[in-house]
Amino acid sequence: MGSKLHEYLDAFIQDAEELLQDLDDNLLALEKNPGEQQKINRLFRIAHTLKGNSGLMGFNHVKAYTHALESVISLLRSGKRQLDEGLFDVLFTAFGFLRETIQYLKTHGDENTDNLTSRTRWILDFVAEGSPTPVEAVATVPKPGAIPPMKAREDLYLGDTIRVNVGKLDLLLDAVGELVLNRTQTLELVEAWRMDLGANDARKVDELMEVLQHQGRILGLVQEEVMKVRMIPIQHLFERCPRIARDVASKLGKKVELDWQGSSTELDKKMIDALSEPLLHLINNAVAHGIETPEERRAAGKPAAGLIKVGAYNEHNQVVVTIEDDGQGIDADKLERLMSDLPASERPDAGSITSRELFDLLARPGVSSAEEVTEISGRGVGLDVVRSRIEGVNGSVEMFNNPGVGTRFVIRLPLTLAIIQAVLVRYRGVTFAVPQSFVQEILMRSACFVRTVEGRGRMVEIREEILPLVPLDAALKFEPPEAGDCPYLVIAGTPEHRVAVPVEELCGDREVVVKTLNPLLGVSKYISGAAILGDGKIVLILDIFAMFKAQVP
Amino acid sequence: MDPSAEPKSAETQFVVFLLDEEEYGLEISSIHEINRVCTITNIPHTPEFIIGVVNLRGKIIPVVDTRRLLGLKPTAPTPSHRLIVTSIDGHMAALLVDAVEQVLTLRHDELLDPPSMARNLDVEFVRGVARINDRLVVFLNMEKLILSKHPNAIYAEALE
Repeated sequence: MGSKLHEYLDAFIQDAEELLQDLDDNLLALEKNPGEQQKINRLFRIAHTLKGNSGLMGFNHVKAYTHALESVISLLRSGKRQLDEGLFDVLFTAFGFLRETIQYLKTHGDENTDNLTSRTRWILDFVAEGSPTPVEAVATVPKPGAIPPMKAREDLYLGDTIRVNVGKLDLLLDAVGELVLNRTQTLELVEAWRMDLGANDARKVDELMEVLQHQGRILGLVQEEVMKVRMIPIQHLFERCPRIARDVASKLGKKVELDWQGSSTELDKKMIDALSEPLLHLINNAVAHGIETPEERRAAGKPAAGLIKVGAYNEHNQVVVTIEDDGQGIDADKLERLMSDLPASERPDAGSITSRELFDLLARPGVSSAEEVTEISGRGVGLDVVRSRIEGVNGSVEMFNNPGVGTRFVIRLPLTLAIIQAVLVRYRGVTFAVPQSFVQEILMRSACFVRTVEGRGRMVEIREEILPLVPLDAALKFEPPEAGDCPYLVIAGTPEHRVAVPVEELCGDREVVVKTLNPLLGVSKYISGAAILGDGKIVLILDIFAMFKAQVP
Repeated sequence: MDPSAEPKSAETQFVVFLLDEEEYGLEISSIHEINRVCTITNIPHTPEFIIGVVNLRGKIIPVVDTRRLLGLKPTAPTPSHRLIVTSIDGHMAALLVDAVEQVLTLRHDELLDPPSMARNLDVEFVRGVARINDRLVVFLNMEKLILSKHPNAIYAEALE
């Protein structure tokens, strides 16, 4: 069976099992009320659906069998036969055989042809003769309603799973979010209450608090479990990578191997979806642009086959995904070519170019860092899409270039979109939330040295590092752009890329429920969403990475 | 409602609301709910007729000041002000109105074509007019109106 069908087998089996249950249910109901035309029609429709599905899968013997089933049910439907004991038994037995067939498919991945052929004949004989002919000796068919015996020898193909509509999970997650808010509100109320009470009553409130603490633990558990339900191991994505790498490599006459690590790391389904295309692009690029031809590699003292390593791991509140190749990286010449169409004033200094600047260069539409544009990887549009997809889910992507040695991409994704820890800050009278995963530290401005660096704007010296100062005015469309007194600096970004954001006030950190904003609001693109606080107040969430682009030159 | 009954195609229900003593109508099928006005949080730099957002059972919904939208001066909120929650371009939005007056059922032939200028509104935003109890009620195409006044270019394109 081809690999395409392989993916659909799971779905086919799940469908079939549900339909089988439906068949049994309806037949049992008809046993009690033989005249119910609707249920008879339903039986026919189910058989018909099963016939169609098995046809699509190429299971021709199952298809023939279900076609025979249709014929039997037709007898009933057309009124040619009443639902007497004889017909009943035939139907029950036939459904049982079908169940066995599906089981067989589950464990063997293919039809039990011989059995099916003889059973199909058996049914057709019945339709012709009007009474059942003896069935060839087969395994006993369990009466519907009883649990079919587990096959002792192999694990069930799918393990113990059910299919759940993602919409239902979204609703659940929303509800949990509300519960988290509600609980915070309750706690705040009780705290306020307690302050007004005398010692005796205060003790009663303490008891209440204890109960609430317990509630908090349970709620925390529920929250965790609901979020976990939406989590899928990244293996889903990693599995496809080796084949993609090899496909691209063989088209280009290169040799590539792909290793992966940490495939059991789990991500929210939304993240997996967001990561899917970017991952493909990056692997594509690694093979097309990173890995050299076998001759070039041998000449450089590298093994003929290039190596691409894909990995994932958890760090704090994030999942880090890395894609690394041992190819040629971007050398000085390539850099020159990349920058060649930029006016001199906009060109970053090749000697001290930052990873971010390099990424920006590569991500420009219409740029390709290969001599010719390969039909596979197309133009450098890939990187732009990669970045926007990932930043679209509050993630970040960075590139580290080592000319001659290789290239590494590091993608960071939040564990979930729905509930995050955020640091609340105030700037020019508006309260904002900054995802805590992006806050490295917070410093007093007075303890830092700010100076203006030619060509780069205002910078802050912190310990031995120099970081750009990024005011929020331009990003948030505040006019005029001159900010007020900002005693605090929020150092935000990733460990490799940080900026300093001046703010007026620190308002604590909280767990907040993240909501998307209606596009009608026309908020600045540096706002990634809104958060509802425990007291019901709404604050905007800052998109720190979009902020990088807002640097005042 | 009995699903097998034929809908009376000749009749439609409308919600009538007030702005400055003038009556306007919105088709009821586009309305999710009508609420009292709760805390409106201001969001900086939104289009001029959007005055902020409200938290409606966990959903953040923009509030459109219908007065501003129709070129009227904004007023201070009163207890009779209401938020009509409806769908605009696939997302929920709340329309702030002075008061909600009644639900009206109109026969198809009772909804008349608007004159070329009904209350300073372009005809394309007016679905029709009707004379109820000797007063003129103007029935609006709210979605079109909001999208057309929105400064974002994509909405203007969407209307074409």
